[in-house]
Parts: sequence; C-alpha cells; structure tokens
Amino acid sequence: MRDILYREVDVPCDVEAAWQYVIDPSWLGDDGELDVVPGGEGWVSDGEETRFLVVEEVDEERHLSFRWAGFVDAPSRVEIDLEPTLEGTRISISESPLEARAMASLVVG
Amino acid sequence: MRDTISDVFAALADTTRRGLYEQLLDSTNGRTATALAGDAVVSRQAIVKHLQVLARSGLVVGRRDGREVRYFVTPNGTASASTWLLKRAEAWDRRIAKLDDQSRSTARRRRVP
Repeated sequence: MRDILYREVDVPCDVEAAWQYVIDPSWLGDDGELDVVPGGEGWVSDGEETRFLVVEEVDEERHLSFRWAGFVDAPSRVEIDLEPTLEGTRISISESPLEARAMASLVVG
Repeated sequence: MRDTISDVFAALADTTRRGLYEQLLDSTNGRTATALAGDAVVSRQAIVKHLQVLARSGLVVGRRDGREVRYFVTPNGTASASTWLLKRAEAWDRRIAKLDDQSRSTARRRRVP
C-alpha cells in the first residue's frame, strides 16, 4: 500500500543540521520531547491535542520513523527521510494509518 | 472500537476494489457481482469477496435482488476518511512550514559574519 500522506521539503542546510531539526519534536506541534533511539518514547502537544510517540527506526542523518497516536486519533506511522541535495537537504515525510496497512495485507487479493 | 477510517483506507488500498468502487460510483442503479465480473479480469468469486470488504468498510451496501445481491455506494461513505486526510494534510503543511522557517532563519544567521 502506498503511503497515504506524502510531503517533501527542501531546506537550505546540510543533513547534519537538518537532522537536528527533525529529531527535535517541537516542529511536530507546539512543544514536545522525544528519546531518539529505537523504542524510545516521547510526546508532542499541538493545541489541545497531545500525541504520544514510539520511535521505530533511527538511522542518523538519514531516516527516522515512529508510531504515534492521540486520545482521539487512530495510531499511524510516520517515516522521515533525509537526502543531501546541491543546495541543502531534502526531507520527505510520509504518514499512513497503522491498521490500514496491517489489514491491507490480510485482506484477500 | 470499530475504526471506520482505517477500514475505508484498507478497502480502497487495493486497486481491484478501488476499481469496483469507482464503477459503483458511476452507476445509479447499482450493480451485481455478476455484472461487475463481466468486464473484470478477476473471477466473480473474487469480486464477491472484494464487495464484501467494501461493504464491511461502509463504502457500499448490498441489497437483495432476486437470487443476487445488488451493490450501491453509500452516500458520503468516504466522508470520515477524507476529513481525516484533510486534517492530517493541513497539520503536515503547518509542521513543514515551521521546519522550513527554523532552518531558513538559522541558515541566514550562519551566513552573517
């Protein structure tokens, strides 16, 4: 199944700096904390909503994935990839609901 | 708790099912599995299974028609899923704008000697 949400952004800094922005969860909302190791936990507040995160994969300066869920929102998986470009770094982000993925593979083809 | 949004995405994640759903969207009187199998490469049996998945997700509804079941699209069947998508998409736009701002302001500061 293709990722349901996909975004790309080119930032004018090297992957080392871009990685530092990505692993600081405050950009995901108003404020947050995240223990950036596989299995590490964290939270992000975004207005009235708080989401809880569990880190899945960490490949420094290249890839970060985590699951997250709020009190209302169904859990989803976010994958972030960093790639050096001529002018800086391309950050690509995708998000897809967890159940949909699991179910899609179970459902008869 | 039944998660209808995930059910809708899972139902539409399959290209055959998406095709069937689109055909049903285009037909005002609904269609039976036999009619849908007429112009499909997969068997009628497979079509029936796909239609059942679509029905469980709430995207379509089956009504008995003689010996067959006629399937219709549910009005606003994708509404909750598209609201979810829109909300999430807007949230990512905001986050990306923030990330972009942060990196640009730092890049500017770094350039100043």
